Amino acid sequence: MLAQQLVNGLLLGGIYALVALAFSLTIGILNFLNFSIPALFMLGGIVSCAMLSKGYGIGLSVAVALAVTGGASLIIERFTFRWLKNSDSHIPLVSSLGFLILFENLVVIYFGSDAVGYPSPFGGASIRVAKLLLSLPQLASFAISLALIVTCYVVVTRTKLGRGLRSIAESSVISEMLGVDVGRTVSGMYLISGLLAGMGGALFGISYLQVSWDMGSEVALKGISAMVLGGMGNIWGALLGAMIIAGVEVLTISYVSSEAVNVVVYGLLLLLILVMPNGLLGDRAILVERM
Amino acid sequence: MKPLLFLHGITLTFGGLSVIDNLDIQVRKGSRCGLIGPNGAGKTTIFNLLSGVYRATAGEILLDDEPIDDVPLDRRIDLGIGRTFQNLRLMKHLTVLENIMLGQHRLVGSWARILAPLGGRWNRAWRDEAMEVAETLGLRDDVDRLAQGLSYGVQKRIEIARALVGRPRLLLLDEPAAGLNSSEREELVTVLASSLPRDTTVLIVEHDTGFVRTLCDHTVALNFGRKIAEGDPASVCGHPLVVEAYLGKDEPIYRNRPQPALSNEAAFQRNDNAA
Amino acid sequence: MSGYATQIAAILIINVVAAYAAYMPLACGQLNLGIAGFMAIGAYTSAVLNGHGVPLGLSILGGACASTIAGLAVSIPVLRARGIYLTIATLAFSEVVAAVLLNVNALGGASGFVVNDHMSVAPMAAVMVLVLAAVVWLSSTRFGLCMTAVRNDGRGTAVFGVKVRRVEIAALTIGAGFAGVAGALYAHHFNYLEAQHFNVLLSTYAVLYALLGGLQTPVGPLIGALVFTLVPEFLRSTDQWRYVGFGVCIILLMLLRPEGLLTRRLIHDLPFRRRLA
Ligand SMILES: Nc1ncnc2c1ncn2[C@@H]1O[C@H](COP(=O)(O)OP(=O)(O)O)[C@@H](O)[C@H]1O
Ligand SMILES: [Mg+2]
Repeated sequence: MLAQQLVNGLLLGGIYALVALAFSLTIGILNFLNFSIPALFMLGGIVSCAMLSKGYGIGLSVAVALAVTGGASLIIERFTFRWLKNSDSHIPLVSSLGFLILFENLVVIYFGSDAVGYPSPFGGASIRVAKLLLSLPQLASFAISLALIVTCYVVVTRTKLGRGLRSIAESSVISEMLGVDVGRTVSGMYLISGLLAGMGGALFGISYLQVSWDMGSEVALKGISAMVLGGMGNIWGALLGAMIIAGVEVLTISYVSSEAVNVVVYGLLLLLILVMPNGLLGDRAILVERM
Repeated sequence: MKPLLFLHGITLTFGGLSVIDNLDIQVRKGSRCGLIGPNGAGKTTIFNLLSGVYRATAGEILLDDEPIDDVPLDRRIDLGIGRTFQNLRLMKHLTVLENIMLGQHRLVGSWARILAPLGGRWNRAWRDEAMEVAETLGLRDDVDRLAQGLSYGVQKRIEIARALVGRPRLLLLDEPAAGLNSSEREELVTVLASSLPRDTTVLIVEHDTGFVRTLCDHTVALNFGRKIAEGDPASVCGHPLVVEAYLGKDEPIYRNRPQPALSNEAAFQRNDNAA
Repeated sequence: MSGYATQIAAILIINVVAAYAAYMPLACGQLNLGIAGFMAIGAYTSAVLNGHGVPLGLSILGGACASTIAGLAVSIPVLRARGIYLTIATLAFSEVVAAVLLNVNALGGASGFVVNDHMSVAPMAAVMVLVLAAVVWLSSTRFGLCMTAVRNDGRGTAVFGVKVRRVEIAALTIGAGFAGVAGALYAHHFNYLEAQHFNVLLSTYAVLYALLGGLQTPVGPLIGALVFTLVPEFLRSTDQWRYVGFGVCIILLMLLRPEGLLTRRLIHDLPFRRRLA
């Protein structure tokens, strides 16, 4: 029973990790809490769901969903990043909230406000290993999440884009002087975080077979918790934090009650930020904190 | 006469790069002391050490015989240390008068006064004083304008006014004339010569030797964080090492110097959160 | 007044007070995304006090005190970190409050909590005017000067001897008190509380009203809350299109007037501008 719950938590953690990482990238590099990420997550789930219902294959459906979320993220970049250089850091945050409200309500208008079943071709296939029941789509989702996080790590640490990102995290003014194309590099980062969030949404649908217009908010709060727990701006921190948050969530549901989940998860987050704001792995992996 | 300010063996290093190197400076009470040296010599850094932005790696700073190294940034002004910034740091959403009145904060004291309306009776004396200083600096017509968007010369003078209304014992002026044209510069010299209170000790960073010669009674020249000359302004400005430092000469010490990556102001900005 | 107009007026008043709760910390550069939590504390405290026979006015005061204390308790440890940490901490705080309320059966839990005394629109408006007056007054003082200075340049302000952290703590605490008032007004006008009502969205809207109205003047949040509560009502569209319009408005406003609807420069350019001196 305990082992089964832990496995469930682990698998859920993979999706939280994608969202946590999407948040973590924009915070680590631009010091900006991007509230459009829950909307992109939701779009990833809804768009792939709509494509599947029209009878397209899963590959094409997810690809279209990713194209939509990546494109939306680039549009959002136009409306948020431009002001980040100014001192008032609330402006991009407000714009990103505007996009959240916009996308969520557009989805309500076109898809309704009820949760929709996700017509995944894999359904709820599962296998039994020892005494554990493992859902195959969840396992696959977890593997994909891990692969994406590793890819993201490689991109940030090994590529030219990643070097640009890290130098912008240090100082965008100086990066510009040193010849980094700040505009394009930041676009690259938005694209990555949009794809991560969108993929998270699609994998959520495949794993839990249900999507709705407000699926992003809950997961986003958990993702933010995971990010803080692991350390803001820290890639592995996002993964570790997500595993712990998901584990705590699943254990609380089965041993306390499902109503107590929020008390425990957010209580933990509050406590952490008060006593250990740098998180478990520290928040300096991508960069030092800025105002 | 005993010094008001005594920097004793001050050293400051940033990750192995020493910006100030075993520096000794004494400034007499009531003196107008010039601080000259080429860009990157460490002049602004000395101001940052004095106003508590940085802490010296080694050495001691004495103000009136009291060590001040442990006094935090927001209490330095209580010791009577006022300053201006080389890169203007005015509050963009405040008017000129409000910016100047911010400089009075340390004198205002009690919570009751802090909670009295600025335009009201309780604050009349403060307002009048701020207006007076604004007037001596030629800011009369601008007091109700927002600081943002005013001309560079005006903004420089607001900075000076803001420092002056705090009635500092030690006033630090960081390149007050930089970026001004020659007539503005001359005007500023006259204004400063007449408006700086006699009992205030002033430390002035300036590149313009004419400015230093007119205003200062003593001058220290720095290069690479070390003192290279000291004495009366005329002789320091003409000192061969100083001329050489400004004009540059291909000596080994110059070639091997690593180029620092960040300016002082950028570092100041970056530390915002650490406070 | 018709029932509909009363309803709108009550919502408007609550929104205005909540907008000022968000405005106070924003005016010194700190984003409090836990307004809903502080509102919930004010609402439930006032409701419980009232339920135990405490008169209406005192109950509301009690609610405001409770949320003020909560604000102080949260801001003192959190403002060590500030910035994004404060935002996330207040968000977490708010979620904890709502989740706890949902689990306390004495307060109705998930099924809601009935509040005794009713408060009509006129006294609510009086309370709103009091809050507004308090903010206008605070903004006209040296404290207000310090708040703006801290928002513009925190470390630069410290150089002038301003105790930046104290200013931030005071602003957040006063804002939390206002949130408590807003919550108490809500409780006594609608006479029914549900923990789910006090969610992130509620905080988000309070913050948006303040930012869209503009932080440069104390009247900004009033304008923001007025415009963004009333305009959708006049449009009388369906709920969802209304929200879509709201989202678009936010994005466009940040594009065209990133400093908010009402700025000091705008007032300065008016013919009948007020002078400080
Ligand atoms: N925080 C810092 N980190 C690294 N180097 C610094 C820092 N602050 C100042 N420096 C370096 O110290 C040197 C002296 O700077 P500064 O005092 O600004 O010179 P100036 O005499 O022109 O005012 C410069 O080379 C500058 O880059
Ligand atoms: Mg300098």
